[in-house]
Amino acid sequence: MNDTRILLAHGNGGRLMRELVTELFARHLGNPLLDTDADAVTLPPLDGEPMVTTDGFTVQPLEFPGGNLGSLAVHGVVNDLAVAGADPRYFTLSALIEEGLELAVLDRLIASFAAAARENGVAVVAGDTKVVRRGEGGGLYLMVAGIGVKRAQAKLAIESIAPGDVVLVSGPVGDHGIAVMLAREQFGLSGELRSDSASVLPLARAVRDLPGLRFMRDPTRGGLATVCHEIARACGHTVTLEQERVPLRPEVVSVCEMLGYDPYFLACEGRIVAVTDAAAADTVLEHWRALPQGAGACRIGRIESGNARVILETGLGGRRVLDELEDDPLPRIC
Amino acid sequence: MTDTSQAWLEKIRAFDFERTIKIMNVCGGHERSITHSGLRGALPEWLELIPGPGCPVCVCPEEDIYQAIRLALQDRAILVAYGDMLRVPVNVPKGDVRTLAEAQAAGADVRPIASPTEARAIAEANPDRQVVFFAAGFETTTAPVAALLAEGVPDNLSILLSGRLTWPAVAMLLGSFESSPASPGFDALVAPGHVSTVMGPEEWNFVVEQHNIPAAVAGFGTESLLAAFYSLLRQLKTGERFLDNCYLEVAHPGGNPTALRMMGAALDVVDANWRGIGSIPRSGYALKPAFAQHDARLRFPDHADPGRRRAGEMPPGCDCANVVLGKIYPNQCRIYGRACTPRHPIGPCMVSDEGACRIWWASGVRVAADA
Amino acid sequence: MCLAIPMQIESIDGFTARCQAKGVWRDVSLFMMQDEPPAVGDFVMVHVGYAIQKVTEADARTAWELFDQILEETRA
Repeated sequence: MNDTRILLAHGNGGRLMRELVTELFARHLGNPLLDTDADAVTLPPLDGEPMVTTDGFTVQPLEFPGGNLGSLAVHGVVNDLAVAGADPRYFTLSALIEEGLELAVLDRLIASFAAAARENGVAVVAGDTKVVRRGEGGGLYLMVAGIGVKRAQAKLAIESIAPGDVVLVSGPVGDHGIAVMLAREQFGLSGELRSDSASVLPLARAVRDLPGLRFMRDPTRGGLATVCHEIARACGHTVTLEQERVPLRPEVVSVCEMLGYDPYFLACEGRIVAVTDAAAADTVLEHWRALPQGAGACRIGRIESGNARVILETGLGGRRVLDELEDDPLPRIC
Repeated sequence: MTDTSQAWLEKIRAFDFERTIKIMNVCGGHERSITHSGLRGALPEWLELIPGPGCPVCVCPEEDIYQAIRLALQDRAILVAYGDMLRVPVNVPKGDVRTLAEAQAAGADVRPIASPTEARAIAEANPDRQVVFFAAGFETTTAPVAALLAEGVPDNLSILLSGRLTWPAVAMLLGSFESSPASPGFDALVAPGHVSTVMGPEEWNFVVEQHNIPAAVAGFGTESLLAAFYSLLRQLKTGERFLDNCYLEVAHPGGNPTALRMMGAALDVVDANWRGIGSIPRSGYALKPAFAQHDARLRFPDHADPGRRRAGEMPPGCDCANVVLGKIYPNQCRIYGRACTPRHPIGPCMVSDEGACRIWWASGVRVAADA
Repeated sequence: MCLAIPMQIESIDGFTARCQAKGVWRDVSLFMMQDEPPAVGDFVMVHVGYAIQKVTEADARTAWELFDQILEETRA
């Protein structure tokens, strides 16, 4: 591996590709189950109900304050399993690499992927690499499938959400969306805000056996408001958020004021939105606040009878509908 | 020390008016602040807040957007514009490119920007390409265009200017309401804070002096807006009339002299077309002849297509013009919430985040009112 | 026109000021502030990347406050 950048030849099935797989991917991801020469592997029987999920990842820049594409991909799949009440076990990784990507960058991203996988008790058991021509890919795309084992004692059913239930969030929202935007220095803005990209597995584990817990989801693209819309649609009730209780970092507020964005629609990558019955809310918050990642957890709203919609209650006592996201956020003219 | 929003609200609630009082704002930012803070629900029932002609995206002529799309698609220019303009539809046959966003998807190089300085930077970074800055906006947004020209721009940067002045539209409204007493009209005016910051609050004296209507310049926080409502209501109550300035910290007397000088040097004030409303005398900006080499209208072939159906008009059924003029509420339009929604906007008022229809939709008004 | 926010000037280089608002930085043009050039530490109102005015302290929110104050003093 003397090259400094990915060449098309790294994807041609020959020596360069073999070296890339063994000396880069397998070096970081190696474990007893991973056999780079096999077409398929046999997994040991799981000690519980299996759960499976899949997701694709792309981000610009590939490395940003608080994370990178590698760790982001692991967290994304771990989080989907965690909020469904599972412990993650096995991942597959498919990498689409753009010709010209610096090998040093690829190495850092895959090392970060491997470290995040280890931290969450995940073994990568199968993988694939492809190289696309320069200009046909954003440096690197990662596709990950994850297998987990269901562990939650709570029932976790979005349809069971009822009026009187409470909406909680594990920390400030919108950090990832704004951190990545600032890292791109888009629209001439810059800042030091870090992405919230993280595994929510410890947060999920801390509360998933509480009987009053009805539902958890990790807000990603579309942010808090989109999760609330999913809740409203599934349970048929109104989700009412209290504007002054939704935690927002100053940088997020600042960019939203400058460009006219609504923070409730900005991406998060390491938060949980939970719905509990009224009795369990404080217990969930206590468990979350005992963890470093849940220090900013708070109660942000409630479920009310009414149409399936999302309402934001303002400080002055006004109410406005938070619509489903229609367009990509763009800076407003005035 | 000034009062808090809550204290202003209580002072406003202490008024007793026997009839409905209508206060008009002419700034999309005001309308957005009012809606986002839920002010309408917090104010007494006898007080109505009417959104007037305050959305620059909504009044931008259809033919200008059409030209921008053609410049991007046919002349292969890099077309830079503020984000809102990318989604405003033009009247073309089904299947044709309707918006700048669709032009981008069809391969045109369309880039959203947040500052005129970005337009210059993009032109400097692409010296072998033509860059067109589609600059729609009112005085506040047009002044930086004048500053950009004064500072100097690269040869390959031209400007498709669609700048408008706010006060002539209000003057026209006041004139038209006097001649047609059946229209709803309004009792008092909240004047736009940042237009006044650049142009000087004095621009709005005519509302008080010529029409005997209370006026107050307001900023964009609820405190400033509520203070302005209070001032207007007290003027109505006492019979006194003056232009109040409830945004003193920013809207200084005389406006911004540098900006005014630069606008005077680079721009002419001309009669201009407002989408759906028609031509309003001396309500638009055009580049002075000295800047002809940077005027996209002169530099590029005219893409106006005389055969194009309904060129320059509002889409059929769309009542945006009357919404923009504050003559009807958004949900009094026949297609509001039916054919016209943010997902499938027909009129420009449903497109822009500042459009009255979009704002009302976002605040939860779903059904069209019975006519 | 509306979308403008106050930012504090941290440094000035020619007509360009490095400004901050709540942990977000932006280069802001001072080209339209030549009659009243702001200084480091000043707050300016920023619209589409241009400072359009200095933000000053206001003594009153509405002329009525001053009016009531004078009325009170006359009565006293």
